Amino acid sequence: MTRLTNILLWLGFSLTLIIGIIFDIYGVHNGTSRIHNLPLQGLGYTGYDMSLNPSERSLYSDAEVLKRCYQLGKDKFVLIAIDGARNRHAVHDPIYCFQGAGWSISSTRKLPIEGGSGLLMNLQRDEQDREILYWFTNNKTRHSSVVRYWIQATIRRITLGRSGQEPILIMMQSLDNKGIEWAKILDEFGLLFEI
Amino acid sequence: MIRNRPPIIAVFICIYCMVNSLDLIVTWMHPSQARLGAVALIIWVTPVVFYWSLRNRFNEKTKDRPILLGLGLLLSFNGMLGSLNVLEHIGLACAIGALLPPFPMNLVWLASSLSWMPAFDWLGGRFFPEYIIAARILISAIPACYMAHSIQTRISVNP
Repeated sequence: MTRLTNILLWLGFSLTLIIGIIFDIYGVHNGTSRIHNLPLQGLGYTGYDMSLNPSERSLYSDAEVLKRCYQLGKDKFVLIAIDGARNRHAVHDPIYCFQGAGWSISSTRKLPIEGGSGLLMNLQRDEQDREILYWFTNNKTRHSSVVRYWIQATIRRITLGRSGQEPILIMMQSLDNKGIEWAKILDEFGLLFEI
Repeated sequence: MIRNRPPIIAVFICIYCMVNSLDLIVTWMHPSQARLGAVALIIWVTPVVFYWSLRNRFNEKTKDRPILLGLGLLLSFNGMLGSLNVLEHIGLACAIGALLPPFPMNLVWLASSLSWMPAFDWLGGRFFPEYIIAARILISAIPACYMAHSIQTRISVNP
């Protein structure tokens, strides 16, 4: 190694330590998560908060999580919104998580939603059938790509929040074997797109 | 003068990348197939240990790899700032990879570091969920064995 490359490496190493400490002190400061803007009740729908089980509490740790059961007409579903601003690692790829929990994915299809698209999955485990619809949102664009989520969340941290709002994972799942009219829910539950 | 240890800066950068990748230990503590990543890492890193433990038998000077070392530092640093574990893991792989001089198949061995990363479970879960364990061990072992063989051959050529 030449003397110059050695000096450059030492300089780079020292800089990473100094910038790392500065980021730790002055890094992105997050206020109240926008997931709390979602009302429990409104015109045509009603909901109640569900408590997180111990494994969910340990998994999400410092992340802000909303777990609610909503009823809209005849359709009942659970909505989970995860804001990983304080713990990015709490947001996992839903496909990987459900497979890890023993569900097999029988089909998937993209569902167009305001600002992008979500992914609708049909899951099976034993005698159970469930439908899951999820997407990531930064309040401007919506998509179902976990890689794009990683890129958005990483760039946001590196740019100290200047690249946009923290992407939030929104997951909606059916409660029983009956299918859900997602188009109707998305149409009537417009507040979902204000997150 | 022939050095029998890596440069101090390389050791410091490796330690920095290791500290940034401490999440690996938490992942491996979980009772899942991801813990086999620890086994894959031990297999993967064997050529580095093998090379430096036999270094005094070589006559030739070890060629340093400052670009790979700098890349490892940069990736690990950005992974830490951006809270993205996979970048930190790739950074660690590059930093450890920089401890070895260029050998044939070096890039393949470096790419096989994916086998010990938790990202491998995520990728495997999507494309080959039933073969993750076998794929993880094979992908880490084959390039590592080839590298160890190349090191052995170089010792025989330059005793």
